[in-house]
Amino acid sequence: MRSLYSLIILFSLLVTQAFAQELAISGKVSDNDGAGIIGASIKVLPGNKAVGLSDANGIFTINVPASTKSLIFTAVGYKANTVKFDANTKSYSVVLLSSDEEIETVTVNYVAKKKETLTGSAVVISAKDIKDAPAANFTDLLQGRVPGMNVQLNNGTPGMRGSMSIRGLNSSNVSMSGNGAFLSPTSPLFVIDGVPIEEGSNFEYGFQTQGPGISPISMIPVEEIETIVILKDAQATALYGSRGAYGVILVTTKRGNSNVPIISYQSKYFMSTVPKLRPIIGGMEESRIRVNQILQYDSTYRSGLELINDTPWLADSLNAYYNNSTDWQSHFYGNQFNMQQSLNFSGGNQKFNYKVAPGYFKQNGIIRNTGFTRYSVQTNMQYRPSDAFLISGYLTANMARNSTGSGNAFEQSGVANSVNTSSLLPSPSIFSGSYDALGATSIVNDNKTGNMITQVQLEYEFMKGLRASTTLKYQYDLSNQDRFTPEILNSGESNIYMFESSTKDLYNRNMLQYNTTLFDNEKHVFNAFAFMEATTTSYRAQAMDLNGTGSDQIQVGLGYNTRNTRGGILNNLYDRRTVGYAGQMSYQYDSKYIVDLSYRLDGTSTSGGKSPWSHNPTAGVRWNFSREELLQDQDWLSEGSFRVTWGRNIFPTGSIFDVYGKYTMDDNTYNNEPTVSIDLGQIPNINLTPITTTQWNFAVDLGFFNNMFTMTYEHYYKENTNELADIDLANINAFTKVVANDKAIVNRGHELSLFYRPNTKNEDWRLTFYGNMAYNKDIQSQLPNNVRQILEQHPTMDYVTILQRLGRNTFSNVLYHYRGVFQSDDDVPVNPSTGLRYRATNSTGQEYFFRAGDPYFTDLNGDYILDQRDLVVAGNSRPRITGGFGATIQYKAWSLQPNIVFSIKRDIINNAAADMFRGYYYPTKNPDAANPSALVPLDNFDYWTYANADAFYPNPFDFRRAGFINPYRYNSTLFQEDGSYVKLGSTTLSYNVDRDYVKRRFGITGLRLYVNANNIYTWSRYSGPDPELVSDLGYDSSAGYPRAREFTFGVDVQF
Amino acid sequence: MKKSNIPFRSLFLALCANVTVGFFACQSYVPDDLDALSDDVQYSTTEFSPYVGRTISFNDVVATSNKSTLPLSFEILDIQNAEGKSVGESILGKKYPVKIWKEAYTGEEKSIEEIEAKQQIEYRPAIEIQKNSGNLVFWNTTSLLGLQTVPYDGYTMDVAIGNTGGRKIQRGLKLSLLKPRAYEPSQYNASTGLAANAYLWPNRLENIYGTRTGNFIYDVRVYINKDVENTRPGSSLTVSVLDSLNQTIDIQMFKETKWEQLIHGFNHRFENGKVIYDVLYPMPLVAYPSKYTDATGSMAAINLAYNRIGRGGYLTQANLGFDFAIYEEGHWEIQFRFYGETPKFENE
Repeated sequence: MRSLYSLIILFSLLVTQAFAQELAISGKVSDNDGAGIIGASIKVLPGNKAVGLSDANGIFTINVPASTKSLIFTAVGYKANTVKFDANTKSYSVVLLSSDEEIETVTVNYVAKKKETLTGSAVVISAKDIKDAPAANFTDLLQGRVPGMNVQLNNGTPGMRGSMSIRGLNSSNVSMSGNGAFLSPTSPLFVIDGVPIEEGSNFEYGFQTQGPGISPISMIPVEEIETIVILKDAQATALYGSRGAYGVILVTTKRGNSNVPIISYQSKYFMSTVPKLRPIIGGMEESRIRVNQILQYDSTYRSGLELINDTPWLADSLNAYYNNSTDWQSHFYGNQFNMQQSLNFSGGNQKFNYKVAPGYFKQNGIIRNTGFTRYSVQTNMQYRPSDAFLISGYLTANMARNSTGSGNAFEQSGVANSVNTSSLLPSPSIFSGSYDALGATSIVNDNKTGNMITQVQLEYEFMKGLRASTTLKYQYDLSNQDRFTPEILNSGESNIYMFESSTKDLYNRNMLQYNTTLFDNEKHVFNAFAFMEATTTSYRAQAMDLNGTGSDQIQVGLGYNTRNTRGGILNNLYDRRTVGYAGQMSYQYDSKYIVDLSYRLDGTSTSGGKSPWSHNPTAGVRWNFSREELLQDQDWLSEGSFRVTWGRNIFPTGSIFDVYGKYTMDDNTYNNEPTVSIDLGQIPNINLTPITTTQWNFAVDLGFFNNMFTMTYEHYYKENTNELADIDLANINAFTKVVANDKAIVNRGHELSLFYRPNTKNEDWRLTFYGNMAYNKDIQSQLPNNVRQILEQHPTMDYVTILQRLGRNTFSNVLYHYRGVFQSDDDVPVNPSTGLRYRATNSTGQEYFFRAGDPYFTDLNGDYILDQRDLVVAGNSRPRITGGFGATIQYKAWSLQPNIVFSIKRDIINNAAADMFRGYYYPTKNPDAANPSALVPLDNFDYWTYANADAFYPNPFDFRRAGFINPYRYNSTLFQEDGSYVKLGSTTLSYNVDRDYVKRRFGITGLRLYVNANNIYTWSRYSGPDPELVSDLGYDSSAGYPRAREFTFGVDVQF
Repeated sequence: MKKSNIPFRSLFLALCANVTVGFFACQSYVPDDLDALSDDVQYSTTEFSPYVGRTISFNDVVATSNKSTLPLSFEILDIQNAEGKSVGESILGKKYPVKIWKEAYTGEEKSIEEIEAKQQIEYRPAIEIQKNSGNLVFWNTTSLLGLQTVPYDGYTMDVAIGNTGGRKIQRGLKLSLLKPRAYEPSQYNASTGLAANAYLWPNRLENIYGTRTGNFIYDVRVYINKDVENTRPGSSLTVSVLDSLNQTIDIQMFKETKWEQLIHGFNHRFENGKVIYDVLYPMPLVAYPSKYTDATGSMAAINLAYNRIGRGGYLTQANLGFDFAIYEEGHWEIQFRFYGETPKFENE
């Protein structure tokens, strides 16, 4: 690496510059307010040669060739200004207008293009607009900013990112294991400074992962981001090839651009406050409720008395803890004070620039024993001795530590169980047996994630218009976890769990790019490029699970119980390669008519041998109709274009074992020799291909009155085919199943984004309003084996049923339809032929027959038995409409940026509410949990009692039959609620202290103070805790991590 | 150069137009949202053998599988006899009065009128299919159809199964009707209709000793007879006990018997040493466990009991119990006949 650098520097020294006759001129570059602009670059035309920069006060003194016709002044964050050069004028005063919202060029498909010539769909977000809220992940800050990008912050664990998807649902596969059902991860491809970053699907939600679960994307400090570009359609993502199918997010980090080195310091202090927790009945009141419930609703009075007397914590009035009242929530939740510090040291000019940016971010979770700390250093440099040659290098090193307590990154089930404990039990201590609670707070859980990304880029222009470039990236991610569980919390044997994983990713891209005009006419612009890229990625993880170490005090040099101990390499290791060849041709006529054609050939190591290559063509056209003569002179229309694109992308899927099978060690030996044979669980399928996305995009861009009002409307049709499906084979085969490309979904949607920048007469005011909205409809279009429907029940959580049916939305809620309460026994329908009442399950035990106070669920098939055949398809668990709106309101140095996000038309299952009632199922011992559950006051609910028969909710107290009837079942429409919400998200009030003043007074060049409030208020009809804290399948995740409210005070200083 | 504008522009516009038209005109590959009907939906029970003259429903007979959209709709298309001739019209086209339940029978009713108020007479075909579950109901009016019973080869039934997504027909569901048996347990063979025995046996015999030998009595025979000559309106059940000489033993000798709970009957009266109840048939009315039935609720249980001081001066409780079901209306009598011995009611 070093020799490469020196070679290049040596090479650059050989480049000499010739000077012709020159004239000396001087002047000042200033902004709107008259303040000098540091480091504005000055170029001369013709020749487009850089001749100098402005100094710290915006003053410049330069020599320009006598042949100069005009001067171009450019500076980061300002619009370029071209000034006519006049040989007689020696002094120039140049004003550059701030380019707050306009980002003129966008790098798409690795090539910078003018925004007005793009055929694809790209949304550009300036980091300036979003950076004030504290967030470990920049993706969380994009919520409501990008039409068609659905970000749901459904997880409050520090360092974890919310779920996100671009343009609807990308996979209909659900993994149903353990305690949840989760969508298959469909993360977009992240391209940071021109190279794809391996995120690894493990990090998608941070759940069910071994180890820390921190994504490399969480490692990017938000302050160091300059712009974010979200590419949505097939044309824009065409050349990102083998992982671009789910959209691409391009991130450009800041780089130095000032002759005078700039040091900027950003500091944030933020308070995370616990959201409103649920009220709990405590102490004597709780114990009375339990006793009354038993006496009133037990089968006989005698049985009730016996039950009470057999329950010491209800009956033993001499116990010191009798009528105890423990506030369990206070043991786990607490407000936290956090901070974030970052320093950016940068400087340079077009020729040579550099940046070093160390950062520190710390966030303690509002649940005890959880937190996230990030240390990062970002450096980059760029050297461009002449226009023909460029070299840039990046080095990023990040380290994160997090603790997830006793839960994992997504769920805090230990805390959830403990919080849901009856207040009558003594507070957590090793003597009271509340081990879950102790475990949540006292398990030592130390997770470290490190990542290092190095990248070198070389560019050389052989001849005019022909440019070659090469990029090399190496990424190394390392994570490890150490967890120590003391003896008392692990059935008398201390436990040590160690996990270590590493991902290595090597990426190379070589590109040849050609720009020219045809027929010697500036109007015909032709641009072509071709490149090849190759990636190798490997992942390996190992874990050790030691039980029965010497004692809690000995934590090194361990002996352990070997019979009870496991360890080794985990079987999710992989080694993947992809290689791609791609080319694009682009022709534009007069910037009016633009045609892009591209083609990409992809090979992945997980494709089957029958079809190792996938062919992905894309095409796009754009018509800037506002430039037609007819419309050119119209004042009201400043911009107008149509765009249509079609294209195909792929996403590698499956593993090499799906394609070629697997050999495993047999359980038995042959002649005392171990044998190896093919794994008969799954038959190899050499026809496997990657997931293919085919997408149409149709768009209209309009700008009115000098772009005071702009809008973009897009419509898309996206088909994801070749998704993997397990197909069970008939049992006459040796193999049990085959994995095949046999599933497809279609997403259709409309996206609208609006900007309004009123021209205020008063210069003090500057206003910008934005709003965007996306409507998406996902439709299942193919199912394995050509069936029309699959209804699948979760293996352990039997209330989760997933329905996939052709032509319907991909994930529908499948529920029992709740019709009300049986006011009396006579209301229960009777089977006319058998004379039996409607009953739950096929059993004829008398407790199964519905009675007064029981819920009336629709008997769909009319057999007077409530069972799974009566489930109805009741709702859609995916939001139909998402979007956001907001504004930037500036008055002099003050600025206010409110942001509002919304999700509309989503049905969610409020199992938090169900749990409130279910707390009354077991007044004494809960067979499903270690401890009896907490009781939530039900005073606000209209539930059935003998006195109040005409009620909305069924009788919650009939505990003897609760297990048979299950009146408050989760999968009932009783708990399906409208999950639409409008949330006042991040809102910032900032003040820019007058530059001259701070310069005089403190010797600093810029000072900005701001306060930010995040996750402030949510308007929703949803009665549960948070309509956003919902799993992807629409179930309220009460066991998840509540989202904190955050209040930030921040200072940005520039030296 | 200006002239070259036109071809380029028109070319481009044509391309644009093509692409746009293609975009809107291209056939959508999105399937319609229809119900799914999978191939594997079918009756898992393919042979039904109800007794003629009893109301019987067959539940859980359809395997719906997880690949079909519920609810399905079911319809009996036709019934053929063993020769393949359609007899559907004569079976399904005729409606007969049947008693259906409007309200639930609880076993707590205090009079026949109260029970009858919970029932209603409706005209229905003797064989019905539940529209959405596919469950089959054979009403007791099957006896009016004059159908042939086993060992006849049986009838076959064609059922249409469908939803908005499609329709399939399952042919050849077999109906092998069994000969009518008015009561259970029965001494008649279900297939041949021949009596294998002359009588039945009680279910419970406890502590009943004979007067003659003083030995435990094990030979008690039960006869269930219908008094076809009795034309009194309504139905009744008489319980009587005969000694070894076929003389009536006064049933009140079974002094510990709970007469109110013997069966779910009303106005019980003792006539000629027998006990007579006004009742409703079938008995039990509903297969639901109550104090009048056995544990499953499918049979009525009667228990005659008395106590006496036995040998050694112990008070012993004697029980004579019988579980049965009667499906036909009329005046029925259950007769217990002690064979070869007469029970001893006196103390030792």
